[in-house]
Amino acid sequence: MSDPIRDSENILSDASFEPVGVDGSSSADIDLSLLEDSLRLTPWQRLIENERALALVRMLERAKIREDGRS
Amino acid sequence: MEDLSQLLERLNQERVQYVLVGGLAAVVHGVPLVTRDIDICMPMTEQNLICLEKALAGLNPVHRQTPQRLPFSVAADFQRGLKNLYLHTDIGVLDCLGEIKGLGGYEEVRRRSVVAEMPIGSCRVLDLGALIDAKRALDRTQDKLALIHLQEIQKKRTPQ
Repeated sequence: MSDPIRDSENILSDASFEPVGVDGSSSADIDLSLLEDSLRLTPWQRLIENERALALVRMLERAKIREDGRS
Repeated sequence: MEDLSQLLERLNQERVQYVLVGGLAAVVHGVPLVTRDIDICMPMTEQNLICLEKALAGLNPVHRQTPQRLPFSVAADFQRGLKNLYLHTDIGVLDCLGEIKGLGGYEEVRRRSVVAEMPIGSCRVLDLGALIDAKRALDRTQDKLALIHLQEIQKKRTPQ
């Protein structure tokens, strides 16, 4: 089935760019290696990575609650 | 338990008109910061709200910022003329915004969007420049780190 919103649009489907390394970057405040890793992924892969990380956060939160409940 | 991709897929399946904005839009662009909710900008028309209601059917959507956690109801909400909907569902939080600070209403937001191809269908996502403008306009502490990442991505995409 055709998707009307895709016609002649700017499509964001691939990895954003070929990472060029962190040398010479000016943003010293952030871990650019994580950014480089993320930019190697497609938008869909980034979404899935976010969900995996979120599931891990939830698991740790539940573990903490159990630990707190025990103490 | 969150399942943000399923939430997006449901919006697509029911043909809700929307543009993905906020933290998840930043993730789609490559920002490696975990986000727990979905923010969308959408026209608050009755038809679009009906599509949204269908998309959220069975997920027990409620207005999470009301003390009584009122259920989401197109009939009631459209009559009240709400500009934004802050919803909680069984699979995640969904904020539906009629306009975006620093950008404007849905049409302007849509104009400044790109389409992300995904297995769950095509998702319209706020473009990088507009996302930066929106984060700047919000000027919240929580957005500053995302803003730094977004600007770094923009720098990398700009031909030297």
